[in-house]
Amino acid sequence: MTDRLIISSKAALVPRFALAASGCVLFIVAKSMATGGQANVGQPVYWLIGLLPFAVWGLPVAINWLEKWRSSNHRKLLPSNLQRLVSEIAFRHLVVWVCTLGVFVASHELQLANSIQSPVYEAMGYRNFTATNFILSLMYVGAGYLIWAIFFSLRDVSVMGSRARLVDLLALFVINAGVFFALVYLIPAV
Amino acid sequence: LVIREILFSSVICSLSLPAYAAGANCPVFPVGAEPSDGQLFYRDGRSLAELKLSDQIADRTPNPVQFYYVLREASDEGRAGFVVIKSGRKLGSDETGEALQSKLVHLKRSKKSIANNYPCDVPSAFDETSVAAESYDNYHDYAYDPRNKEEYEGDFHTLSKFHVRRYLGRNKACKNTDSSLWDGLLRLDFRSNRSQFSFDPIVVAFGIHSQAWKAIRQTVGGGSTGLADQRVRMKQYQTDDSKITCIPFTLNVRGRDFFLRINDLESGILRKPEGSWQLTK
Repeated sequence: MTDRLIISSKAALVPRFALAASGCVLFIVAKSMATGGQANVGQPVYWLIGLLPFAVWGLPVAINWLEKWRSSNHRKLLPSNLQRLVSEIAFRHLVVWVCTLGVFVASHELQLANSIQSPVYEAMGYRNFTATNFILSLMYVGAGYLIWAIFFSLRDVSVMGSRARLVDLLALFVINAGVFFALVYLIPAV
Repeated sequence: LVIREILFSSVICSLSLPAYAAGANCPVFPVGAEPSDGQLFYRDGRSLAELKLSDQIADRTPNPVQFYYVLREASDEGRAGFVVIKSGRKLGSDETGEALQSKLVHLKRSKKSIANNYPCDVPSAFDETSVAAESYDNYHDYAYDPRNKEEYEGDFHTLSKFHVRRYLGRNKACKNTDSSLWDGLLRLDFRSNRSQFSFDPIVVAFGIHSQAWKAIRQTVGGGSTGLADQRVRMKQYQTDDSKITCIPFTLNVRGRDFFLRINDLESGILRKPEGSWQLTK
């Protein structure tokens, strides 16, 4: 899995670009679904918002460029193993993000979303939609993680192994739920 | 004496027999009429007349018009469910319609419930009210939640109260009137209970529009576009031992191009097409 994460690899750019593009399209469709059809692919602002989560890639890339720019006798900003870890976390975060958007879009398009969401609406009394949306965000991100776990991480035992990894996964789950809640539900349609 | 009594009772019986032995809530049907599932009758003055699809209400018919929608079940188990009665007017080319945001759709659900809802739930009470046509279309044409616009949060609450959760359906199955689950994926039947409430005949016939497609190719308007005076009424029913029941309802038929559309949510394992009548020219 880590082979795919080498920042400087040009071959890795194609899947990354595909992931970013599909993530953007899925985000706009998800935003449209969450706002009653008020967002659409013809509005550049949603492409920009859709790209925001992919900015986390910018961090390891920027560090990499900075390392190249600085002379070799300077101390490294980040040890290479830490840099690799940041890159790995960023990649995982984005795969989960795209999986979450995919689950959201698919459940709406297959008309399953109402059956999934109705019990939450009923439990919340069809009021307090901010809290309802946050609960739904947790559910969709949870489903996104499940897809990621099934298709991307079960083959790689090292990802699932240690307690540190579990904390890492929990932290990413909360961050992803927050990002999903903010971008898909909280930001009003323009 | 015995022969005289038999003759007398047979004469009495023949006099008291209605033209057709009707089921619950049904009127006495005209001689020779054998009401079938999905037929619509109305009171034309004092007599009862069948309203065929191509028929229009006679001008002399007083308002409000009394209608009887017939539900007839062939199976021994009978059936229970809900009937959706949609009415309104198509706007003429010389009329300007209200915007979907300000136009209202009137909602009413019959207070009367069937006697035995077991194993499902008794429908909760609902006071008749109205929602914005845009909310109504978003909910039934696209399965969007109207809460997505702050001003429509109340409409979402209203629509969720209007619809019935866990009603008693065919074969004692408990269903939701606003369920958007497809009737049959394998036979490519994308209709659902929710789609039957739409004022767009395409949604009723083929199912809810794609939300993803709307995000890619922006479309405007919904089933309520070009319509006025929209009313939606929902009534629960259960066929009795005679396997027949009627849904009586009244309607003020006023104005040009007045239409009536009726959808039975439990019409069959394969849902029957919408009953649609153009009541005035």
